[in-house]
Amino acid sequence: MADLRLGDLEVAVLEDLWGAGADHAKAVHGRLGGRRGISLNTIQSTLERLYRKGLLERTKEGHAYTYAPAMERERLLARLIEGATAPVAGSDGADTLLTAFVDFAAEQDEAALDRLEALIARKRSRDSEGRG
Amino acid sequence: MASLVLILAAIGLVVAAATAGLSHLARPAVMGRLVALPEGQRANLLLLWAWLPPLAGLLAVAAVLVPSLLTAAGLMADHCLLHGTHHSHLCLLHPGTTPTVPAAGPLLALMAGLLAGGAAWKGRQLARAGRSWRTLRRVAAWERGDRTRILESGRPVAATVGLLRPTVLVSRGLLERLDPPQARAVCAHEAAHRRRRDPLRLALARAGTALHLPGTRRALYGALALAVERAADEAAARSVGDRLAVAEALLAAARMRPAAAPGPGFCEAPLEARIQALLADAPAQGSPWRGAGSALAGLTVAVLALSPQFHHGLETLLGHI
Repeated sequence: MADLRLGDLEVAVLEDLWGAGADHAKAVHGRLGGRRGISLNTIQSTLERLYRKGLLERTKEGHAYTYAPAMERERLLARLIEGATAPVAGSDGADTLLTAFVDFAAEQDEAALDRLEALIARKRSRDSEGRG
Repeated sequence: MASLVLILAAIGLVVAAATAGLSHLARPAVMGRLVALPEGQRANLLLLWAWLPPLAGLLAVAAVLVPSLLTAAGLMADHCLLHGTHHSHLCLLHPGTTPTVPAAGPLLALMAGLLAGGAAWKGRQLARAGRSWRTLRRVAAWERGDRTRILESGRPVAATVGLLRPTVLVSRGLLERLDPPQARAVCAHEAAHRRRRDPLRLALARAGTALHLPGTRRALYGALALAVERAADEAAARSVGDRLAVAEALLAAARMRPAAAPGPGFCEAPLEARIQALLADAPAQGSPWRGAGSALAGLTVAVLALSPQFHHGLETLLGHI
């Protein structure tokens, strides 16, 4: 899961099913196919890929499968965030192509954070006294 | 011709290695001076320093080729024929006068293969590192159209992702746990990273430092990472109009981190350095390219000025080998 990769179409299909709840390939194609100019076959193989990745569940109804999201958006996002931030911890953060506001993988030192908080508070009160 | 190219490549590599060695020796003194500079200027100079070994290697090759190029442009007399054939020549125009290196072709192919292999490996590593973030960006893309995307997740995330068209990803969970000035500070900080294309700078530094010695490589990258964060902190402070709000946002975000992750990680020093800098008065602002531009111009002028001596010195040296 740490290495979960999703293409544009896969995300579009997931979005569609998050909205629709559960549906079969033809219905998904009806909503996405025309707009994106893609065939029913492409939608079917995308649904199959998402099912294999564990992101969709399916049940057989007659000759066709009905697909439903296996997890809510928030849970998928949480797993993607976990996957995206995990390598930062293992590779000293140097090989990722991002800048993060704070390094979420760095070890916490509560005592140091408390000390910094006290410094900020002191400066804040000095500043407001200076203005007052 | 293969011999000439091989000799030029060897000259480039020797000069690059010498520059890496000198960088290692001069590091403590130079780092000490860089710390005093405004962060934007410091970040640019550090990026230039990261690229100094390959740059010096290329400039050395250029210095060797300047007489041939000037001759071809009709700006100089054909020096190698004037000098006669008492020693061999590093001349593009008369390949027959170059010293012959045995098995130059296969050696050159080996070097090119190693270089291409190394570049491909590095490229794959970088692509793999960005892959999960690209997926995250896609999932977020449907929620808001502009270049700041909100992740509907309770987990704290604030990051700028992407090399040429960077995107800011901020999670709802982070924004909701900050007060409004702090949330504005986080968004302004990330917007500054996006405008400055900091992910690209870091990737470029990563590629450039490949020829530095390991200790210098880590130190340069660490110093650059801190400099780009400081530059974004200052931009956020100017945008929000409250330096302490940025410091408070940093502290609040640091407290939201999940429990200690495995691996080395950064120590608290960068966070402490950033907060201490925000507690001090705003630094003076200067042109961020000051220093880097003049250093590059100086290097180019030096190469042009010293080219004849360098060129003939090498020819004499090769004549003795």
